[in-house]
Amino acid sequence: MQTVYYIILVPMVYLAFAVFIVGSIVRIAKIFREPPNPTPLEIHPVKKPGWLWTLTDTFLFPTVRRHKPVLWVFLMAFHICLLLLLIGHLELLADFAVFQVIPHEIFLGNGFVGLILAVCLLYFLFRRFVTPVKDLSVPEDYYLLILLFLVVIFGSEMDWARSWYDYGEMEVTDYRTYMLSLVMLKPELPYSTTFSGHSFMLILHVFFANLFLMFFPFSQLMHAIFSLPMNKLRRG
Amino acid sequence: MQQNSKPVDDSHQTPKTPGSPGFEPARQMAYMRRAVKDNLSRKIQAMLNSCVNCGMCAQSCHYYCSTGDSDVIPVKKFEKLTRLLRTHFHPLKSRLPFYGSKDQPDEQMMAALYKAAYEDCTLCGKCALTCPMGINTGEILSLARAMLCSIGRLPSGLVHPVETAFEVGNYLGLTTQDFVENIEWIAEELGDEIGVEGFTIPIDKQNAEVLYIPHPLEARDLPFLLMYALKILYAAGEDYTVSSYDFDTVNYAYYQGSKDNMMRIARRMLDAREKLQARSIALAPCGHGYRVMRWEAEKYLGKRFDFPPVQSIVELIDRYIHQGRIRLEKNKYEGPITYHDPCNIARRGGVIEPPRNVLHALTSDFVEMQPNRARNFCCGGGGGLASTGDFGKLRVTAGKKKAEQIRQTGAKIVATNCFNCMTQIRDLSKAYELGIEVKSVVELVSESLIM
Ligand code: HEM
Ligand code: SF4
Ligand code: SF4
Repeated sequence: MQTVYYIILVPMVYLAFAVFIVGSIVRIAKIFREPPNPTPLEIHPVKKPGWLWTLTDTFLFPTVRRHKPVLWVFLMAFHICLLLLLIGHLELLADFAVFQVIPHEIFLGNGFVGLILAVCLLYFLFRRFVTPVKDLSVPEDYYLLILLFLVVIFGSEMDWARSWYDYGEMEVTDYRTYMLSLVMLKPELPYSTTFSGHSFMLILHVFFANLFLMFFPFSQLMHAIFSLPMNKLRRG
Repeated sequence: MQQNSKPVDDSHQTPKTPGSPGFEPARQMAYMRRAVKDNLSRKIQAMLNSCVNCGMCAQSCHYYCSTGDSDVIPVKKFEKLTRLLRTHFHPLKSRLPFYGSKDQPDEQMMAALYKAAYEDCTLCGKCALTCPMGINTGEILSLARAMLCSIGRLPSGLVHPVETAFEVGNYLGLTTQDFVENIEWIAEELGDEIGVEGFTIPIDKQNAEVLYIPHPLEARDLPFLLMYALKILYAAGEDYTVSSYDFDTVNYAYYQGSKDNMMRIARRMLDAREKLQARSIALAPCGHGYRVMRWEAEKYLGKRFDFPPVQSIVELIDRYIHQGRIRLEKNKYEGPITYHDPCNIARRGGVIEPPRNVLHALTSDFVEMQPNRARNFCCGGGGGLASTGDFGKLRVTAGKKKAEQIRQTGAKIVATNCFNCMTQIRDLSKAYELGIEVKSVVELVSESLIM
């Protein structure tokens, strides 16, 4: 069993990142391989300054707010939480003074970030069972949401255990040792990460996260990268 | 894969358009590959790659709003193209056994693509406004149109007009001689009407301020429409002319998806201006014609024209009113008037406020449709659909949303600024018994002129 743990926690993480990076580059390269032709795409009226409207379009989803206000609330909550999550994970690597402008414990949000994400994901999932979204969803859409839900649930569990139930066997310092060692390419697994009662949570979280990363370049998740240039196109 | 031997609807099998060399099955793939190569740009590839399958576009498309058929949700329409590109045109995936094929796609796939590209999308661009990623299904489907056009598989209404435009110089095949005669006749009539002895309409006058390009239908079948426009130009004291070389705003090649054909037609208008050294060009009410001359041609050439931007005649009228060059009798028309924004003039063209200014000058009872301006729904006659007789029923079905919009305004008169829109809204009015009159803004202005 320990071998499986090791494979998931070390080689698979490297593999996942490799697939993620290479896959994304290939996907972007595929687009840039095509000739830049002069098809005009902007929609009128053109508002100035274009780049500012592009940023609004990209980060505030005004079109969704206008047509689907409920979805918009979930979307905003979801994406803001994703951002907090990203910061949270970075802080597991090291302390960043910038993020401590508002002093907080690691992990950000005291467990609620994960909760909100989980709720949003359930909403997204149920939404996919209703027309017209049902009619245009492909199986990958459902897999993706379920996968992400699993990542979030197991990740949150560790957080909830620590911050709500004072579970003390796996500490931030342990995560930090593990993650930094990965970054330094000298993998090292602290005892608690593989032998404590909640180890399997960590293993599952990392396992699903790996799958998620490997799935990323081949799925609609590429919208995270494409949305900015795409919205710029529309703004002309 | 064998090509299905199911007979193809005759109307698709119309003979070769210039630029579409033929459709022998063995060579179709080569033609289509070429069309993909020429038309698949970085932008389209980016759009094909960034959809989040969120379904926001469904409610923005008048097809879906009118029919509720899941097959016409924008993302489902361009999905058909995505799939085809993956399985038959992708350099690697098309070689995978059981997945791709280098042969001609089967008839079912081609028919589905044809339906999506030519029948189920008017290229109106409304979906691009709603999509959080800015994906413009119409623009993507132009690529599908270009592919189908390259093998001569396109609606009859987009074949003959283009051929005629290449041969004769306008899509109706009106000869220069007939045109000049008609103009002279119009001059006589107009002279009588305004009571000016020996009134003439300047043809091929050099160095005029404005070269007015009429719609050939105006010049042939509906001369009074042309008369309206010319009367306004005259009343404003404009230094204008018409050309005997080009009198065609229409550019159906744009709807073929073939940019080269489009430019060939557009070039004629540019040449006409060049010959006469006119300072600017003004176009008769024509949506796609405006779009081509205002935006597409410049982008195709990769540079700005060396004369002021092409204008639609409503823009001129707006300016005349603003400058006090024409005076209008207000409220000559009774009852509420609404304005239908043609997609290619408003959302895709950028002319949004001028027609409203004009209508406000004409009536104190102007009502907006909901939604309006850039967000207005397509009438259902765009994309070249209005030019193909067989699509009549389809247009009426797809126009249900528009009919509802119009009914909600309670307007008596629907003014618009595009020939295709007028035709389509008249058809809708009949089919849905809206009891409205459809008029061009030009007509309303001309009839209210205080000379
Ligand atoms: C790290 C970056 C991002 C990640 C990981 C991410 C992830 C996700 C996920 C998992 C969904 C749910 C998909 C679904 O419902 O099937 C989603 C939806 C969405 N995201 Fe993002 N996103 C990111 C960035 C962005 C950005 C920058 C935009 C800006 C436009 C954006 C716009 C949207 C929109 C409009 C949806 C709605 C899709 C739906 O309702 O299903 N996302 N995102
Ligand atoms: S361009 Fe217009 S007709 Fe075509 S899919 Fe988009 S909204 Fe529908
Ligand atoms: S709105 Fe845009 S991103 Fe959403 S499903 Fe439609 S095309 Fe895709």
